[in-house]
Amino acid sequence: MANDGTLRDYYDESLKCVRCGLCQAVCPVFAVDRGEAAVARGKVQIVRAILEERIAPSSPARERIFFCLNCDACTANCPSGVAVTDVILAARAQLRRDLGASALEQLVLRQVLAHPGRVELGAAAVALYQKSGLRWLAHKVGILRLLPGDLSRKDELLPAALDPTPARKRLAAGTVSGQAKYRVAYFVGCVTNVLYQSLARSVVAVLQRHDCQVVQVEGLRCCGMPHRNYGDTETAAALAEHNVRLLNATPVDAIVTDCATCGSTLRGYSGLQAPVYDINQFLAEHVGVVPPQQPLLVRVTYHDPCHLARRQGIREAPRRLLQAIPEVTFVEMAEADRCCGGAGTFALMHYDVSMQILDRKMDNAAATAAEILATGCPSCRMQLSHGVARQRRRQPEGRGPQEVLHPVELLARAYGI
Amino acid sequence: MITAAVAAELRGLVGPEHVLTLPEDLACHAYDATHYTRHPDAVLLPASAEEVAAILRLANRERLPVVPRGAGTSISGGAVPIHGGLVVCTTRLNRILEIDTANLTARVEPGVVLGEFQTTVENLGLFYPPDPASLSVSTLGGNVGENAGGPRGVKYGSTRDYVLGLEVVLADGTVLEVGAKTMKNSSGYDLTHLFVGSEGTLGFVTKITVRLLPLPEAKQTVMAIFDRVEDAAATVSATIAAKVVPTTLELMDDVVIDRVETYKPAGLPRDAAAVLLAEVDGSERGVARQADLVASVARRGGAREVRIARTPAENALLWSARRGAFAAMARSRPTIIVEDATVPRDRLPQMVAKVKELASKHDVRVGILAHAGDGNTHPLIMADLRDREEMARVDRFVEEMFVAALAIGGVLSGEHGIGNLKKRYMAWQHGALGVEMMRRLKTAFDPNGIMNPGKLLPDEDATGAEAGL
Repeated sequence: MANDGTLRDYYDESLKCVRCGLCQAVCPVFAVDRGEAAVARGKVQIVRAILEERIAPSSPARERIFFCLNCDACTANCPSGVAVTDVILAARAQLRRDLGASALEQLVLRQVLAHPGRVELGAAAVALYQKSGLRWLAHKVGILRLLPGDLSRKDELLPAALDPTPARKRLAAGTVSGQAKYRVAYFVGCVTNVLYQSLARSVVAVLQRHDCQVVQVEGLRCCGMPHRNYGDTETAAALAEHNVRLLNATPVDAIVTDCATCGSTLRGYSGLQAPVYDINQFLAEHVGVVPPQQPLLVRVTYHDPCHLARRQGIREAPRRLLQAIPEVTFVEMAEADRCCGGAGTFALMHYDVSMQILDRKMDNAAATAAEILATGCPSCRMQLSHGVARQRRRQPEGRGPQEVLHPVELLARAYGI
Repeated sequence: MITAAVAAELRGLVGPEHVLTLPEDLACHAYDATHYTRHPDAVLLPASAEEVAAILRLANRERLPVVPRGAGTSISGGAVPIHGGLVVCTTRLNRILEIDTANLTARVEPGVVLGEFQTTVENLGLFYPPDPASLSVSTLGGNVGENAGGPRGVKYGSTRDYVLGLEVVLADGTVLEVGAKTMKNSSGYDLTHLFVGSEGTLGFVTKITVRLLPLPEAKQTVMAIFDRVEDAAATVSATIAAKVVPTTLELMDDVVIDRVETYKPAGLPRDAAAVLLAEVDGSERGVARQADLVASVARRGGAREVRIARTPAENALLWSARRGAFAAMARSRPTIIVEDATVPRDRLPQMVAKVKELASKHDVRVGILAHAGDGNTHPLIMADLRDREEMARVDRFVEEMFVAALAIGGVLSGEHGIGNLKKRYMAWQHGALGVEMMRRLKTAFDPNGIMNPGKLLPDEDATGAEAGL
């Protein structure tokens, strides 16, 4: 798994970088910032400088190593195929060991709670970061409503009435058996769990429509990706070990997730007995989509999450789901697989840069005149929903998307479930 | 090293947020796309010619090296601060100032990215031909400094052929305007074209006037596959002799073909000795006629197969092999060195054969890419920097290759520049007199030797040891 071991283990990988600079052409952060440290080459060379003892492990080094979406566009464009994300995550882990845990919790709390606009973005992201975030966020929901700020902006991001019951609790409470052609464990990601309960309901309903018995595995926790992103490899490993143990204890045909990030992380777990599928992939490629009967007269475009398209190579499946729905007009947007700028907590830590990246994405989406912007990642969805609100303010006369949904939710509508 | 007083003065000139002195930031400006690495003493990001002038005045006074930096993608060492000093980035000098559609010219600041500039003018139906492989990231200022070329050079020439005028800040901080917007200019010494390709050693370019062409209506691609590399190389001259000058005429040898098909198969036959890729442009009817001509010349020259792209999709497919070539080579071994020895077009077969012979002699792994249409070979050396014995053999290979190229009327570099990489061979090409005349020019422009020291001209005390290696 990336960022196990020490940074020294990644020296050879850093040497693969021939410094050609082609990463500058595709890096969304560089497009906004234009600084050498903003782009993969600069970061890889900082790592190399540390390992060659030309500079010391330091806070400024860490700051620059964190100024990254981990979107993998650089690696895709790199002639040498440098595994930039692996090098960066290893560097974050090493810097955490060398310098101690950053004042991140304090920073996040200061950055998040002091800015109402960011609180909405931050609520679920902060929950992601915590080891046992669910109770903490449920507690915090009350506090959020007490914060000052523009109510309409808060409404734009969160459901009008935030469901205080996490999705996992709801699933456990209800009946989830069906005709069992497949036994499927549904790994509910943290964001879906607290923000998009309707998506979780749709996933279960659609799986049942496909003759799946959806099994609720009790006690599953965060996949660990946010922890890995912050270099907290120990917690990430503990979470992985915990989740693997629980998932292996329940024999299933497949583990399915609706979150691109969870999916890419679960695939990296060692020792999992059942295969991991993204829900789009599971339906489109493994099981076969039951043709929906109910037409939806909507214009839809699709944003490729970085962790789905580049990390897992899943691009066609979500599009097939959308195009299976009768009367749907599907339109490709330009730069569909360019990062939305959310990247977990990047939007919190680098709000201005994140918004410039988001605005480019929203302009591309608006150019399709699609009412619905579909995406296969709840984290992207948070960012894009914020983008919908921003687009309304930036271009009041424009025809930007009105709604951000997971393809499975549209499918559920087309099944009438 | 710079003193605290100098650092403070620099902050006063461009603003403290535009002066970088943290080791972490210096580490990010210590390199270009070669293997040289050396930290500068400070990195500056000026926003105007006036700020650049103030910086140079200070640097000249303090005898601090000044190294101009665009995207930092030079492959001869041009942007590496091998003697420390100030790296001055053109990042904030990034505006297209004017596109004059009546005169077919444009005025740009040096930090404008070439690919973005090309897209902008093409959207207006105009054309700026020079197309180095780095165009998606390299800057026009960098292109001017290195006289960048590219595949389209065979028909359209290089950067120098498109520069009409410059605003240059000289080493003492004075601002010099050279050239004009006119298409013809015979008014004294041609200082404009002296600066092009001077690699930042004569002054700091702050504005560039270029000429533009109308965008050709159509283009078409032809690929010819050969069983003998000599046939491919000979077909290049035959094509020109048949009075067809393609836009590009690219050659890939068997080593490159093998690497491409291993890394990202593009449908090239692995048993082919060489592939020739030609693009023609012009009117719709004209390109079809040209493409057929190229195909028939290739067949007469011994091509065993010719493919003509008839649609944009087919076009892209044929070019994907050529575009993936560098990546395929770069992944084979840890270190990739791209050489640039260029010979008269009709000597290309001889040069290709010589490169292969020398590679075998010195046991060095080399694939040959070439802008064959203008005799510009790119031997791609796959090596490992950490293997000193191998690198010594690579050095000997490179030296003998230069000797061979120069012996048949060639030059050390067609488009990459001399930089730090090739300066020790300058006398071989220019003779002692030529190098001496260049030194006198350099002294006239830069008496204190602050502009990109250690580049282009051999070190005066050169014994073969090079800074930064």
